[in-house]
Amino acid sequence: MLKMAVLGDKETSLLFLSMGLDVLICSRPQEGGSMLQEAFRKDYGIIFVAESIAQECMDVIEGLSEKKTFPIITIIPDFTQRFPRVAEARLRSLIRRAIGMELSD
Amino acid sequence: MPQIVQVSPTRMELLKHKQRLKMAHRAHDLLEDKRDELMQRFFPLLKEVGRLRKEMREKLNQAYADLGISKSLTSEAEVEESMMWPTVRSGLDISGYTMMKAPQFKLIMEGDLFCYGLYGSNWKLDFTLRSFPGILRPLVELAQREEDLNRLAREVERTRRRVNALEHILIPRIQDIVKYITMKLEERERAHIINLMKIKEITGRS
Repeated sequence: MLKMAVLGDKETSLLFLSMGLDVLICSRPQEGGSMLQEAFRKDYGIIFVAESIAQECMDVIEGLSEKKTFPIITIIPDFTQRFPRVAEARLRSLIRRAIGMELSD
Repeated sequence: MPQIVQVSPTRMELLKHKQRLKMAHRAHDLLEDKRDELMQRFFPLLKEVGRLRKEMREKLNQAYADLGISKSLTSEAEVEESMMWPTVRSGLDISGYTMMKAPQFKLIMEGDLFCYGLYGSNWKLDFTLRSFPGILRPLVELAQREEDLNRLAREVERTRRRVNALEHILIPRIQDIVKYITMKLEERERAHIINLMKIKEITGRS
């Protein structure tokens, strides 16, 4: 059985901790990249990354998900909701790369 | 753009390059079909991911709001204490792989969601915990769909580059080579005819 992990601030993590997921609490978003790299070496199926952390380490996320197929990284909304639309921006850049143009919603 | 052609202008080379040109055209057609098919699969998946993400954002925001309210009903420390030691274990089983080799997961939740006693908890916390399976399932679904979309996008990009490389670089280059050899051969033939004519003229005179 593969496990799941959440990388986020304390409030976001608390919700997922009680769902039975592994929790990696990251109090400073700058440390998110190194924590994510460390989590990548473990045997996780999916790593959920909070938006506030993902905002700071987008390059690490892209690099890791291109290099290895497992685990899958998914960006989830934050408890604070201060950085909305990080995941949507990632999706948009993906579309631009794939079809060579922007798509309106 | 004219290019330096380094081939010996023989009939053998001409035949070889004509064959290569035919093959390149065929590969181009096939890859173009592949690109079109991938695109046709890309857009419905994109729409689904957009819908799932919107749905998940709403559900998660609702859960965060519920948690906030339950914290305000008792104290924050008490709520944190109640949720700190979960009795439920969540995990994933790989049930298969999609067309793009992205894994498909099956969510497993074992144990009891309610990991606290009556003391120090409140009704809103129960309410939040009860909504968890309804959050985690779409989240896992979203993760695997997004991964599928990611892989599909990478494949579309790769195929598009291949089609463009064939169309704008390889095929024109082979066409240039074929043209060069044909012209050289014609030139040689003309020179040969003139030589023959000259020989005939000389032999006719004597």
